[in-house]
Amino acid sequence: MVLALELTEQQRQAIEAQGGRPVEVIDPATNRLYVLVSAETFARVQRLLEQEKGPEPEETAGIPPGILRSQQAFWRDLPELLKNRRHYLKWAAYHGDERIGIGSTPTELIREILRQGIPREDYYVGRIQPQDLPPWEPIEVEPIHLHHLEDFPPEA
Amino acid sequence: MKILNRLTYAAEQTPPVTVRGQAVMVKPHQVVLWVSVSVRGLVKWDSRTPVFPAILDTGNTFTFSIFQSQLIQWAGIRPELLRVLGQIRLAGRYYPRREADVWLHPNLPGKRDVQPSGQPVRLNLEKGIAVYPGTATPAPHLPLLGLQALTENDLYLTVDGQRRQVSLRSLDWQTRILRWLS
Repeated sequence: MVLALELTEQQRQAIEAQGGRPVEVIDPATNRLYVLVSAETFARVQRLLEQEKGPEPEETAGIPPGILRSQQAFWRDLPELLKNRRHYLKWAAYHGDERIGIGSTPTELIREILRQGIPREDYYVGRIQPQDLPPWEPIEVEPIHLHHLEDFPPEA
Repeated sequence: MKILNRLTYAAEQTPPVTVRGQAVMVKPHQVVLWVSVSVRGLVKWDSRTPVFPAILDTGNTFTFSIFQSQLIQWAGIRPELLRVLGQIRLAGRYYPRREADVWLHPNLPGKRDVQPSGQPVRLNLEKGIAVYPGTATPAPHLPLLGLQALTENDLYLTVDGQRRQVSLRSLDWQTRILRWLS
């Protein structure tokens, strides 16, 4: 559990004077500099850092960088695309950060991608529908084949 | 449009299906259908694409699962030809999801056999297919067509338990309009 320390009157006044900007605080014992920000600002910064960090390398192993970049662009735009009812259940094609187009079938979009000479490792075609996982994230599947059970011999 | 028309399955042991000269046992209550796999985005169906059996498994949570050896020997495709879109995690291990189109072949009405002159239906699989390394052991297993493949393609599945028949169709236009309006 993290203890919430109470601000001193001097700190409260300094925060007020800064008008929402970060306040620097020095620990006189160690000379270490700290930055005082509101919880809302901290949460915003934390979110930005998370986004910048991107997916874990293990999650994206084997995905060519061009496809991954295009998947990230699709995922970034998906909330906006879903707002337009005309786009619902259609497909969107991305080449890196750029949207190539929206179409009724992936086939027509892939034809356009090939026409533009986009390399095969540089595009992604995703469906405009609510999705719980980003396209690059591993999908958990139940063990189904006998050979997956070899590690677990039947009970005697 | 009807894709599977009263496709039969059995409650008892049936003769094995033969794939490229290899006999594969089919267990009672397994629904065997006929599929092809191609690189994604072919403009139209190429009749030279090999056709092979798979099991319809609505309990499977993914789209389509196949072993690498089956992909090469039965579907006639080297895995490297299919782009990697991500991974699936199974029992703590990671396997590639590869981009592909799966084509579902119509059956002879009321039978398990594929309709030789039938036009297959392309299944668009956004998440790709799972390709497991190596060969199915200890016994050959057929590839699995999971529920997600049907869901993603807005298909309508019915099982007639009394007659042991399965039918699969795309939504007709009246249903589409009614659902769009609701």
